[in-house]
Amino acid sequence: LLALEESKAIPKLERGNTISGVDSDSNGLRDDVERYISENYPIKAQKAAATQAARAIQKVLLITDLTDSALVHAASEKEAQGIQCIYSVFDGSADSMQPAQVVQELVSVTTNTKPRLLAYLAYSKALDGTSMELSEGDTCE
Amino acid sequence: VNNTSRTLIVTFFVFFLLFTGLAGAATSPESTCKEKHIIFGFFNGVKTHPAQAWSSLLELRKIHGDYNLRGEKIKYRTFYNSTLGFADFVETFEQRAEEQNGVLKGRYELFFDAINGGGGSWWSSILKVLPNQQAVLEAMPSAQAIAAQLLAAQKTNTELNYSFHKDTIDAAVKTGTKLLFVAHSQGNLFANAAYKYAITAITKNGIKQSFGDVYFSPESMIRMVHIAPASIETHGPVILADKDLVINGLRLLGGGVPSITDVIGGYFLRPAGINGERDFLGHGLLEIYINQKMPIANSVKSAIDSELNSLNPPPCGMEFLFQATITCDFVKYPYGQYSKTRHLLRAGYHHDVFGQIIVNIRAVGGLDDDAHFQVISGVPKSLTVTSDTMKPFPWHRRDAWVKYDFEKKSVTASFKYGKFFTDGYGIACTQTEPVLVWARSVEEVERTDYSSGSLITW
Repeated sequence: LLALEESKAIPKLERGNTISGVDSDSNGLRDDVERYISENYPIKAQKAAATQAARAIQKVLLITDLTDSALVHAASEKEAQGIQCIYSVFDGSADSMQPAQVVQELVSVTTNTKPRLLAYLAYSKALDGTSMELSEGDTCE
Repeated sequence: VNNTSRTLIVTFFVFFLLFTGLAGAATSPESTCKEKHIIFGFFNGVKTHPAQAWSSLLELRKIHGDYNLRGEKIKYRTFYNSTLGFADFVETFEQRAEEQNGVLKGRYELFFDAINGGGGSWWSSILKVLPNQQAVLEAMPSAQAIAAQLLAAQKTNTELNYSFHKDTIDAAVKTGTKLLFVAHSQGNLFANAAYKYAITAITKNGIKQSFGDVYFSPESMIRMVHIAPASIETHGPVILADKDLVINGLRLLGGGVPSITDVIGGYFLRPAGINGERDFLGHGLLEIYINQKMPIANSVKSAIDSELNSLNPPPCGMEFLFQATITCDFVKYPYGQYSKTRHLLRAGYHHDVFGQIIVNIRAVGGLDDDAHFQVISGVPKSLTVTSDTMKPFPWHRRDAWVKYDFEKKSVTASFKYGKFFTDGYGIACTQTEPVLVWARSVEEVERTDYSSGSLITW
């Protein structure tokens, strides 16, 4: 598996006990996820879109009160805008992955430990029964 | 200001208000009404996390675009439902990863792909060098296990219990917005409930079945498309793959499901879905049903496009009934101190008040962002003005122009009155009980700003 990690066939990720992980530059994105994005989506616009989405996904893991529907709604809106941005940048053409695949990869690398995965599923449960509309216009930051 | 001057001013305002009020009333709602947009509501399936739901919705948007053939705007919206027992799958993954020499222990980034059968590139790379780890994938929820979950969901989700879904539907119904519900898997259970709720809401909220000579059927403004439905109950076209093992499992367990409509290739013949994964269960939306490399995606597209292009709006000027609460604000008057709740007036005097009273109507529940209404009836003919001396002062509605407030998510109506008198120490406007208000949808609301005399258009 280490060889697969080195060859980048599978991601090499930090697996600490905290949900927030190691974010040495405090930019809201784990260092290992930032590295993963740089390695896998090197084109500038793609990297920016992936970073925006990953940061939003990371943020939903850190929601302090999942019973606060306004808080959950706001975080979900950011997540949706990040994903929408990915769809505006990745088009599945020759030099671009399919956006759905990028989204799935970002969720997977962000939820790479049990506490992180359970935090995302708890957020999923908090969204149960909600209804939200896609934003109009450019959602890239 | 002496009495004569005051009388002149008041008379001017009475005529001014009468004139502008009539001018506003003369605007025909039918002439300005245009068709509303369509809400494309996506009800996700089982095992769908929030980002996947957004992805699915965005894929559907890529396929169907922002406008239908009539040029009507399509607005895409999630109607999210989470999967019961999702966290239990994590335990299964953890246990089996430990059992297989613990090689994959702690690598939870493989989880979401694993619950779909591990068809993604990470799992492919791992299985090439560690084929025995296939056992981890085989321990993940089987088609039968998921079918059993859906069977349980079938029995418990017969009514719409989601308040956010209800609010969204209520708002759409009240504005005459067309609805298309596209449901996948478990989402069909919630969509069915939502559909029936919407139809009932339309009837309950009093959409007239005929408007002039136009007959209107509520079912024509709400349509459904069922993808891999986990229920025999349908309200529109169905697309179901023959090798959808989850729905086949549900059928075997005795859960009623519709007949198969499309044949798909076997697992090893299927191209990866737009998320890069292949679902061995044959049930995934992205992997199977809207995978543009598979013919079944054409069936889904045709069904959805057909429904999008055949939705019928209610006739222009259709009237809606909604519940509203009414409160009053007195924005200015010649004497006394301003107060939101109590308006002190000098004792023993008659007071001329013109263009100062705002009555707020707030719809119970939200309304669509671009909704405009003209209140046409149902507002009480008179509200009670009380004074400290408890002498009632009724006044009569002249007209009401309504505006949707984006921030407050409420409807505000401004009632204008030429003049009224009071001789009490203070006055208050009381209307505590919610009322049912008839309103007519219009494209644009014009209103006269009485304080400046200028015309404001929302």
